[in-house]
Amino acid sequence: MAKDRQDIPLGTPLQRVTPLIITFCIIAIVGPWLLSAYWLNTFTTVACLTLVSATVALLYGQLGMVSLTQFALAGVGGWVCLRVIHGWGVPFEIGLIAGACAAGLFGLLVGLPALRMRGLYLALLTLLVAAAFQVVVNVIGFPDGGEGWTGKVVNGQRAMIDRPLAASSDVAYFRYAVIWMAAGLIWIEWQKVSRLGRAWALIRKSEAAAISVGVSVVKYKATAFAVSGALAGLAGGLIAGLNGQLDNTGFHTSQSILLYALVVVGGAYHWVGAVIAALLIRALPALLNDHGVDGNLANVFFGFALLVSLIQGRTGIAGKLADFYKFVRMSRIVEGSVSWGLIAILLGVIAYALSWTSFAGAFFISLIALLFRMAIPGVLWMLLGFFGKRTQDHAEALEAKLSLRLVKIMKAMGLRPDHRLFKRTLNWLFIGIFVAWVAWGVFGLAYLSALAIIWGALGLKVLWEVSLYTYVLPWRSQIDARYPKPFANYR
Amino acid sequence: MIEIKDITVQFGGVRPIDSLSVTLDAPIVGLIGPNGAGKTTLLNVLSGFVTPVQGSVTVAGSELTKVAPHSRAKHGLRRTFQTDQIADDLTLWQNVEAIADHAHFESSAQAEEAVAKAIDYVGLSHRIHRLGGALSTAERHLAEIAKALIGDPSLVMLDEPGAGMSESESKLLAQIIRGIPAFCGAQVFLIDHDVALIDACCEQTMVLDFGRLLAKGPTSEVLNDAEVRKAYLGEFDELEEVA
Repeated sequence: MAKDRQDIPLGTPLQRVTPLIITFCIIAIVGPWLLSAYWLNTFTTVACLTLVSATVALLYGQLGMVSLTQFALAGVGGWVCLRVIHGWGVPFEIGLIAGACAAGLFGLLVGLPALRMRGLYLALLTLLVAAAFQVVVNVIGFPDGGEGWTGKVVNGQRAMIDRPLAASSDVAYFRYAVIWMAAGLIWIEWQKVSRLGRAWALIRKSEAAAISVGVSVVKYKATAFAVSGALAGLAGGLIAGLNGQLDNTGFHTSQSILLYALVVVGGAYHWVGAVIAALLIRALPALLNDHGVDGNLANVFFGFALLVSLIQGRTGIAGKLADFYKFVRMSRIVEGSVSWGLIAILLGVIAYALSWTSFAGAFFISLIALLFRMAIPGVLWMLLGFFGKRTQDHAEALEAKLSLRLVKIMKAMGLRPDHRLFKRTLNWLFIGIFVAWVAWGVFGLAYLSALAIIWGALGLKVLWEVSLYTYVLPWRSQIDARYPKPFANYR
Repeated sequence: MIEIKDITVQFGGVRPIDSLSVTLDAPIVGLIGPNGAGKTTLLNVLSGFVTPVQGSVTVAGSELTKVAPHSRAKHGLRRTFQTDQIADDLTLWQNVEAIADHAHFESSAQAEEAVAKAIDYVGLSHRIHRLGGALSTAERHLAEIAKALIGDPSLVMLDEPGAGMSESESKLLAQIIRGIPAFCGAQVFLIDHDVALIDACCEQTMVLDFGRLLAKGPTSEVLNDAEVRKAYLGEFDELEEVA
């Protein structure tokens, strides 16, 4: 029997949200330096959608309830926010909070009949609500300073709302949106390890068991619906503030379904999943559009990604990342981040100095090359697996045969034999040719420069390993002793 | 003390429990019976998930027949389920703390003390930071018992706590169950198929068969009763066997 490892405490709620606070502080500060105006606007939307995704994940991950109304609830929040600001000329924050309250109330109303429903029926009900919202909004439109309770201008100039005074520029508004989004995510994360989250855990395990210990299932489910409605509404208000107005086409029912699917892909049990879902739904199509590819192509990828995450289990990309973080020693993560970062910065500076491409472009390509260096063998192995175990075995045998022959030749030539040389060469060739081809096609970088950056990155990593290992190893064991991993906590 | 007066449960044309009247007053009471005898239905009547068509239930002096299921915890009723209800992604401590959240302690310090005491009582203090999903089957069953001991219960109902346990684990379980009345003053109502466990724990045992009370009394007498052996342990007289 394996020896029991000591379990490590999960930590206080404050300790649990610290990584989240640090991440979003860095994003809020560094983001505007790296992003162009187009990308800054895209990422502000991503921040808002992260909050909406987090509410979908909250209902699905914490209570197992599928809600397809969250996007429509963002629309409700945006509508009320616009209406209040146009109607009474109140500051932006008041409109935002009014929108959140209205959406929370609406979410609660949707949730009430849903308290006795689960699974498919709940999904259908919420889908119908989303569709109904779309119909209503198509008829009355979003307020833009007109008369009447709908506040819609009939023939004339649409009025815009002002952004908050402290955040009128695009950069400031990006930070403003990130702060609201982070506050929402921190609140959710905090609750997960507090009384509310524990009650949710009891309910999702079994409603009967929860009832038998005196948990009011109605109260806790209703709280979840109201809070997730309010946070989605807040996000809707933030989107309204970004553009100054909202468009009828922005809150299509299909977006609600897509958002739910992407939350499953991103991972509903970890806050990173909400960020990934928002990036996929808005940043990926924007990236494709930016390079002259139709953004709708992303939907094909989404379908494939959903299929993979359903086969792979329900934890999504965020769950896989969390597993990776749990199983890989701390020292390797630290060393990897430092070496990858230094290599990417160095190549970024060189490429910029030689005016091949921008600093960010070379930085990004180096990181991709280093990531592929680790990931490609595993991915290929998985792809071979689709053809069956025998194909995998044949490929392995063939590789072993060729490697042994190569080792014999190296020995005959008086060199120190390397059994993995053949595999590594293939890996380097593939990464170089493939990534450089994508960089050439998508980023418009000269093929040879891209190849130089990619192989430069891989070469520098090998150089790092060969030259610095004797110094790095003791340092690494110190880190592992200081931050052990709670292996026994694994599921 | 559990007083059951003339309880009848009807599901369509089936009567899982048929005008059952019994008073259970020993600190640890066992309930056995063949499959379909109405054991779990009786437990569900006690915890309020099944409403009887007639009759009344009184536990520790409070009449519970009309009390809603989620309010019965306030009257000191606790139960475990046949399948354990440990949340995989909460630690053992959090799993037990989730119960303490709803048990009306005066301060959070008191709640924490109760959680620590309950976990210590079932012997899992070294596992408090382990995630529910990483606990062994026996540990999960013991954690379920710890959950049921929170907040001064008056009646702890255990539905097959020994399922899937090895013999040595089962012995430990018997020891833990025997100590519950002394630990928190609660009466224990134990359902299990494992007659050895019932024999080791219970002073008093009742036997159900087709919704009717077959026998009730001191455990050793009940287990040796000819009717009980016939219905439950599957013993036949020689004549029947020949025929």
